[in-house]
Amino acid sequence: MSISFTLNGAPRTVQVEPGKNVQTLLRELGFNSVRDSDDGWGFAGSDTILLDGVAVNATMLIVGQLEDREVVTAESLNVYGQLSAVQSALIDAGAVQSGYNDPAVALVLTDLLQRNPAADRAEVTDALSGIFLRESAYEQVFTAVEIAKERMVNPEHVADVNPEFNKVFDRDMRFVGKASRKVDATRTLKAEKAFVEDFVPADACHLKMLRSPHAHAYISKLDTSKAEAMPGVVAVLSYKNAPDVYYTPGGQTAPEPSPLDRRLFGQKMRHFGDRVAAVVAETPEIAEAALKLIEVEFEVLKPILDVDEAAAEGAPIVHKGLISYSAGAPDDLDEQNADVDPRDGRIHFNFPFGGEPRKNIAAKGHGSIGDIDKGFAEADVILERTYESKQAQQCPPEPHLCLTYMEGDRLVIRAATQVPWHVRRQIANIIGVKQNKVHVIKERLGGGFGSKQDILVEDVCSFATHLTGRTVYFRHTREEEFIATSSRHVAKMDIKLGARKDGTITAIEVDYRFNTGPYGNHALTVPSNAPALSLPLYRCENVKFEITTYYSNIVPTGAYQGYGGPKGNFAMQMILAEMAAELGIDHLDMIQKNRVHEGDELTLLGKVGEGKMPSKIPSASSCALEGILDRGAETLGWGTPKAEDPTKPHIKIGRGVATMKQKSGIADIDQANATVKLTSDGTLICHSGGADLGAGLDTVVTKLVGEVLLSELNDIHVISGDTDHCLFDKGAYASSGTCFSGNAAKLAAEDLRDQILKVAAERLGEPVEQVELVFPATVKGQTGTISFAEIAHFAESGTGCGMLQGKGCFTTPEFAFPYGANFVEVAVDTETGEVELLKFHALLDCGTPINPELALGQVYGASIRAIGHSLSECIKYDEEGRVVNANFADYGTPSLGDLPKDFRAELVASNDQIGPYGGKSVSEIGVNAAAPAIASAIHDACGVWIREWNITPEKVLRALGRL
Amino acid sequence: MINNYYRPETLADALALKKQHGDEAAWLAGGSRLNRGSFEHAATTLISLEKLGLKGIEVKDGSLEIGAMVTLQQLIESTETSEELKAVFAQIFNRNIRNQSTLGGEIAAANGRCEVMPGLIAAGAHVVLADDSVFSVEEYLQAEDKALILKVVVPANLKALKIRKITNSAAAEPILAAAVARKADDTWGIALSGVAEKPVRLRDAEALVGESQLAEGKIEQLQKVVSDSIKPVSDFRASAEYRSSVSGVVVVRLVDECAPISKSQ
Repeated sequence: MSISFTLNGAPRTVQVEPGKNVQTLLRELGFNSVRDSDDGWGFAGSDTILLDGVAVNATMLIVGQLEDREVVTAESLNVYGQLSAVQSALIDAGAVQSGYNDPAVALVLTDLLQRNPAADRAEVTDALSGIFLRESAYEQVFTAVEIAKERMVNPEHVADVNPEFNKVFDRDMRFVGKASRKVDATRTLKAEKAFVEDFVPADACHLKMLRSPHAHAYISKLDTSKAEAMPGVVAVLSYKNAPDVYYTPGGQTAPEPSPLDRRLFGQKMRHFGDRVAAVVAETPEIAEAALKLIEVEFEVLKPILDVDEAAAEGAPIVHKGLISYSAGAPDDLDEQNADVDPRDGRIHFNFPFGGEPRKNIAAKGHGSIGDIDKGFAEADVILERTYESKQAQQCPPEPHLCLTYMEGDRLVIRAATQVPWHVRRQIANIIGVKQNKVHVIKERLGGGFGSKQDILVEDVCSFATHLTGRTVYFRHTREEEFIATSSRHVAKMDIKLGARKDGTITAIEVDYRFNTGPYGNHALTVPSNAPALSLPLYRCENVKFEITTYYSNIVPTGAYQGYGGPKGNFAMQMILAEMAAELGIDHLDMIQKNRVHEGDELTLLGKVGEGKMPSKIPSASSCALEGILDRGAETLGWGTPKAEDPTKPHIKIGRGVATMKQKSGIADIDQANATVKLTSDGTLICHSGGADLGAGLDTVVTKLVGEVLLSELNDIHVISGDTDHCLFDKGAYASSGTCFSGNAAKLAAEDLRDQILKVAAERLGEPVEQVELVFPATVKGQTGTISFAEIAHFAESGTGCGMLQGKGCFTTPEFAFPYGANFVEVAVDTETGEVELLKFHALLDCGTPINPELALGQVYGASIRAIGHSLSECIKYDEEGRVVNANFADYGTPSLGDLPKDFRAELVASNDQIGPYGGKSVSEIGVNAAAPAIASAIHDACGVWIREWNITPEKVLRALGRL
Repeated sequence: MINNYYRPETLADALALKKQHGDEAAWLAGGSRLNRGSFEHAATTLISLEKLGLKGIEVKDGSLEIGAMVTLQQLIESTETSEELKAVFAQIFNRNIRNQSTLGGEIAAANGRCEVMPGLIAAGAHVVLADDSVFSVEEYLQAEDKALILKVVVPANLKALKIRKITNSAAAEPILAAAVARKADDTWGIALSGVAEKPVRLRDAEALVGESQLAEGKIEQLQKVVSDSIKPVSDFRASAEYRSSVSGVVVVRLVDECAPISKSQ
């Protein structure tokens, strides 16, 4: 059928099926901006276009609807070499993080401001109500709108973004701590080819997965012959032809502290959505059709959905495969292997960490300091409570996806991964080749939040290409994101707290029970971070904890921003709040009385490892909690009268607070490397192993190199996350980016600086001690100056010393801990149970923020994600373990309408000695305190403790005794 | 798979096409419901209503007459629409969806959790169909075989129309949505969605409220009548018990907003 329409001002006629999806058509026509986050469910607006002048979702249109109509995409805003007022404003305000949905934001805002140049906040909110910004939580978009308004009148208008940071963090530095444009923002905002999906060639094969309809089952019959015979089908993959290799999907440093309990395909189905078989076909339609020809039957087993069921006597066993160890096998291994069921495959431990698969235990741990009995004996009051968390999903706007192809005998993986080097190692192992035959190219990520630390699509996609020689593209649907990726672990925590009447904590004892689901990726490390990221926030000499992580048949879990922090901190902060109430002490006073102080030795952390104990006892070498708590109390109005309306007695206002901490990489385990080379004209190219997942790591690296080498940022180019062209970096997780990858780049720049100074001194005929770098890119001696360009020219000449290149490798036995707090004011409707966030103030000590405006965006984004898991987000199951809400809206993902009324993020300075120029991590920590802060505010409002997140209106009403 | 796509220019042609293709054909209005989720519907033929007109908004004989192809956002932006009715259409948070979703399509979709329907039912809106029949929105939603909606008529002389929804997040379908209308003749309209397969009108509650100005002493009675009038089911959003309990609370509040409940007894 011939369809004619106007596309970005030009007439266009296409010959297509009228029912073809408009988003698919526009992508095929090369309009990258029309992305898709939700498979046409109308939640995310990644696919926003203007149709006859109004914003709609392209995935919800068929091509027939375009006839005679006018279509405008975000590409219409692009002028080569320039940025529009809205585009530049979004970048300057720090609103662009991953850039996946930002072209849609630019399109909608441009349309709004053209119609209404004076649009107010409510109108901006309404215009953006159809667009999902998981990363930055919208707040800085409002700043961008104000900048854009000015620039539409005066294109030369200079944005004064967060000028207070220039004062607070002014440490006589040129770039660090100063606002500057995110180095990749223009590319993503203009929707240039940047994400994996932008590089898929037209002739790529498509991989589609047949998934288990049962949470726990054996495949009793699998016949793929009809699918294999279908024209256009290239291969069908299943447990019958998959490599007999076991691995952990967790992208962690080897030897991984997680059970190797996953095979590409198994005969045992361990969760709803587990892999049954995959079809690789020449079109997605053929692949979908072939999936329906696969004949499969199941022997259905009883599913386990929580830790109590998993631990129960006689519980079904999730893993009955053959158990083995690389080292340290237990004495009773033969006994454990007495009841092996070969259909369960195998399960391997690199070393012992408490796993007992026949008891559904994936990992165990424990630790203690002091004398716990003595501590409780000294207490005047002892509280014992149980707190629970539910299962949250990271919801990156870009789903998991992967493109693989062969170049000669080498496999190329274009991946949206946080861990390129772990992907290379794991894939080489799975498909049975050496690592030099695998090239991983990390493209831009449309959000990760930990979920892309795990290897969830690269494994099967790589196998498909290696098996067939064909280019293969595998992209999760949004439903697959919910049922087949790594979500947040579920926790049940029994905590006991002893305190004196004056509020002094005397003892803390916690029993953490974590639910890892079907596979044990991060089964030790996520739970270990529950005590590590919560208990040391308070001084206590007598602490004891135990950790047990159980297998079950919920959908997979893994790494999610905050790791074990949000769960552990919920228990610790909540029982402290309950103790304050019990003792009649103001909650904030209770925190102040017991909190950690700068310089404190964190003895307990010497007892918590992530597969390896720290080589020395960490300390809170920098900690701005004092300033944070003072500032938070001031901005929230802690202790001031509450503005309750006497005509609405059912609305109760309450306030809450919780502190939080994180780390900045893992001491003695993590490593990052980088090189910086001087090009022929004196500009710089940095090869960073770091994996920028949209949060701004490449910008951090650029600024650090610029700061060391006193070069213009435009003269520095960063190549990152490419396993062929960069040096090893463990990847973007554990909040390591700034501290580890940043420090590696800084060390490389310093190495190059030393070489530059040496050559410059020789050329100037002066001792090296006598010359120094001056801005821009120049060495100054007492007798003259020489530019980097001149130095490079000499170095590369026939009589030169060779191209100059610096190398940096960063490891450390030290930790750099960021600290923070959330201050919250809520209004609780005691007749409906609804909770309204009147104020949410997030304050954070990230040391020196390298990119202050981007750091703020991290805090806002983390806060709204944490508000999500605290209030609305939760994966729900039916009794058979099937997920019943596998889409954004039903799952409860917050959008613009869920922002707190008064939403603030502030940075409070500290000077850390570990991170580059005093920088600490900023992104992960922000998710760790929302739940306890909100729950304690609810208690302050209406007197009930909600000890389980997510906190729904129904849970509040039940707690109030009204149901 | 869509095999046929038509854009008839007259109603007669449209109806003839529908007759020709029968159950294999579906009417296509804005497409926000029909095209949702990668077109997972059974129709192989789509008949677009785009060229049939059906896009007018006018006040006529004391009512607002709305063409079936008018979008929810167009209604919000129309000077003919009352502020209270605008609020009904704005219950769908997402502007992209409101730009695409037509009023006729939204009614035809008959979604039991639709936020907009309670407002229309409470206001006493009715639909005019292609076979010249007229049904209240409530009746239309309950009916099985339904002709094409041409027009929606909403009484414009309401004394008050108040709405409220309870939801887990702004963009989620609501746990429940409620609307209460006080009409020109002081009769009442009360409707809920999210508490049954289809949105429902609560006639017993309307009668109780309409007896006289609601006094404080009758609040519990009204809440009980509301609870007794619905038979909600539990789902992942909330339990039936919660819906049952909160429906009464919400209705009482909306009644109070329409006509303050007497505190004298």
